[in-house]
Amino acid sequence: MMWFLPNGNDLPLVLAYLDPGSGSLLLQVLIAGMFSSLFYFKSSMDTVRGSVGRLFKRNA
Amino acid sequence: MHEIQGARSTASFRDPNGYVFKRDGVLYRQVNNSYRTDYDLLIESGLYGHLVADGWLIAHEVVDLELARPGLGYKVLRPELVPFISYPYEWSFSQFKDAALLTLAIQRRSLEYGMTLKDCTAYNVQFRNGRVVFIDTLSFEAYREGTPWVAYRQFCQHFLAPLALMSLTDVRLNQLSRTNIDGVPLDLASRLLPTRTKLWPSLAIHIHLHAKMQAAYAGAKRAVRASKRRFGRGALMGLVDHLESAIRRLEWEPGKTEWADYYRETSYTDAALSRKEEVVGEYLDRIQAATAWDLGSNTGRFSRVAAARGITTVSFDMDPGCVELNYREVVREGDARIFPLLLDLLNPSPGTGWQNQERASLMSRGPVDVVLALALVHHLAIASNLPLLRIAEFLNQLGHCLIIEFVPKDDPQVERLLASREDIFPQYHRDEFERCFRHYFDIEAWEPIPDSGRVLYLMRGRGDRSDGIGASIPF
Repeated sequence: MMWFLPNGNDLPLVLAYLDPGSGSLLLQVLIAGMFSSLFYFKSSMDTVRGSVGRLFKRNA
Repeated sequence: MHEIQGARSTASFRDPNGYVFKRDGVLYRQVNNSYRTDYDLLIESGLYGHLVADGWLIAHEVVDLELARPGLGYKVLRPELVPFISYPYEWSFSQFKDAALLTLAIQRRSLEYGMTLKDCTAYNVQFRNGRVVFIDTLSFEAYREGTPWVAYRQFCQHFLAPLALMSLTDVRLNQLSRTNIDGVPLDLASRLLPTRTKLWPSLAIHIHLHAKMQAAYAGAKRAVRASKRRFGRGALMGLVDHLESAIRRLEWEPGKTEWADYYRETSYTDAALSRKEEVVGEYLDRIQAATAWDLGSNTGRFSRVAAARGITTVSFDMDPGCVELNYREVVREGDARIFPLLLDLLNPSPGTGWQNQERASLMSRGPVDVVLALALVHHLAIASNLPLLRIAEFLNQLGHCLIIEFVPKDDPQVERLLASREDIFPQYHRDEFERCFRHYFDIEAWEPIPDSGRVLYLMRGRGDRSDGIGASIPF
């Protein structure tokens, strides 16, 4: 993971004041797929866990 | 231009959708016509009711529109008040973390109701009854499917970056919030965090890569084109989940702090300690206080004596470990009347932000009914070279009454302070202490603490003190 991450000291010092918002929005859309996958994976796991939980409850 | 009805809050001017103002001593929030659709959605969707019922959002009542600025106002709200306005640089690690988690929980619930948070400053979170509460009713807007989270940058700067720095670099870095009013710049956080955090997916993305993206696209037109790409609801929920797990993973343990073992290690005998509690309790009963500030409260032992009497008590200490332990106990015990906060009395929170008034100084958030200064005066006078007269003046500005403990020179704690330095304090004795404090106070009672040379005083201040802009209120 290290190779694409910035070294803190390489970052320009005070550029962020120009418009820190653009980079923040772009970062979100660039990795939207990853967030979506995480969310759907977690939702599916919750559903599976819920079903298994109900199954055991019924058998108890 | 129309006159504003009443005095507008010095912290409320950035949001064009409304502002907070005070009239006849009552705090109101004007909602402008520009916020009409979002305000109606907040109420009619049931989101407001659900958040208030769970104690996540401050409640308000809608009052007479006559109070509003003509032509601009849609509603005037009278919000419920919090007992004391505090700021992120005064919070312990867990207080900060709870504020972050509340913000994310509100964002997640807002999405369920078709809304989203449009800003995420840490200043929107305050404490009430020992728990975090969101105070900005105008931070909600209708969620538009496909758009990224506009408050993502602010969340990372206001919450994730300071918490990561406190947890992984040094807990004292919460003071960066004091110098950076819009949160810790991510490029700065990226520099200060340990290199190993580049291997943590959450911090690698939300801090390091985020900082790089901000720098690379500052002012660039390319970002605008790219941001037209869709960012679905699932992605937004995933982002909130990812941020939440990042925050939950951050921990900080106080360990053995300088002061946390104070009660155990001092020369107080059990009898002396319980007598001290009794006398403080008697003095508090005598003055019938509703609000108190306990200065140098350690982990809040004597704040609890005040709180047990229904007194709203802000429990200040300069040691992040003590404040952390105090807050954990507040949460564990459900203490509604104790509010632990971090404060260096020698350099109390100043007025900061726009015109030095956006965030109130400590002094302007007083005065309170009573100030507790127990086992404190020797630290100010001897460790910090403050003249007794100046200490008396300062304490008189903070509160109407004072319960103060004089610690004599032959006390083991003072001897410890003097062990490594020359004794340049010939004037530090009880007579001089009383003489100096009589300039500002009437001494109503005093009581020696057994098995020690210490003396407790109850004093009533003289002179006027005007209420500050964020005065403590009983609740």
